[in-house]
Amino acid sequence: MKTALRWAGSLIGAGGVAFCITVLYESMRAVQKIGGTCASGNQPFQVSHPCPNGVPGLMTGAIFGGLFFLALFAFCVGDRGRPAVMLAWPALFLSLGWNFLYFGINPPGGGTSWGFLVCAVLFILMGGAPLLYLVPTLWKALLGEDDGSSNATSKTVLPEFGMGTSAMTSPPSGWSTTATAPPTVTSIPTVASTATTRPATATSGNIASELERLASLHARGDLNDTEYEEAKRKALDGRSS
Amino acid sequence: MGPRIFLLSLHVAAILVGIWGGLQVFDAVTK
Repeated sequence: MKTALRWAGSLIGAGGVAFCITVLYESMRAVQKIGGTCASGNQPFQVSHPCPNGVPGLMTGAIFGGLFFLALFAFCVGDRGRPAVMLAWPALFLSLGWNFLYFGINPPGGGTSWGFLVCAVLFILMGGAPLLYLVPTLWKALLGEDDGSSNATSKTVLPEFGMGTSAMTSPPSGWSTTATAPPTVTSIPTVASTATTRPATATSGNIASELERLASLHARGDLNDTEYEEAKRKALDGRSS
Repeated sequence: MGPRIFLLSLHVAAILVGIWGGLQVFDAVTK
């Protein structure tokens, strides 16, 4: 039930963010069509560019609504969906950057609007650069193994984007745990020595739990491949002795 | 179809519905 609610929340969040960015995109175009600036309300001066009907309210609502829906989405998807949450940034900046580019080349008065073009370059760089990093990360997350559960603990294996431990119980082949060695690396000798001494008196049930514990430490990055293999071998040797 | 692809499809659908809804609301309000 909780999982269903979280997925429902993430769907509403994703749709809501798309809704708000679309409204913001269209509102921005409406203002750019009249030169890029507008004013409305009870002004003590004469307004030369009145805002298009409803646009000020839509734009304000889209900004705060977008933040709300993004927060809902982020809450519901948790650590494992963080790359998807961060996609909102390129979505916002690339869509608005496109508006700047379009109206920089085709401004309402004709010619070229260099002010819009400078903004276009800035927005496209701000939106495009993170996308180059996010797409491979998302692709990897999409292809990775998953047990389907959404209650992964917050202990992250890939600190840069926090894929949950449940997703990494079976790390993809070729993925190296040594690249993300956590600061708790100093605890490894303790872990290894525990693994060395415990199996000597362990029953077969304890052996199994010990192996699971070692696999968990290995998947989490607390043990590198060599240390994991050595600890596992010692655990198994303890069983046979 | 794996669960990931299914959920991804649902989210893509939600995003498309959101875009469509945004266009409709904008047209309705600024008409």
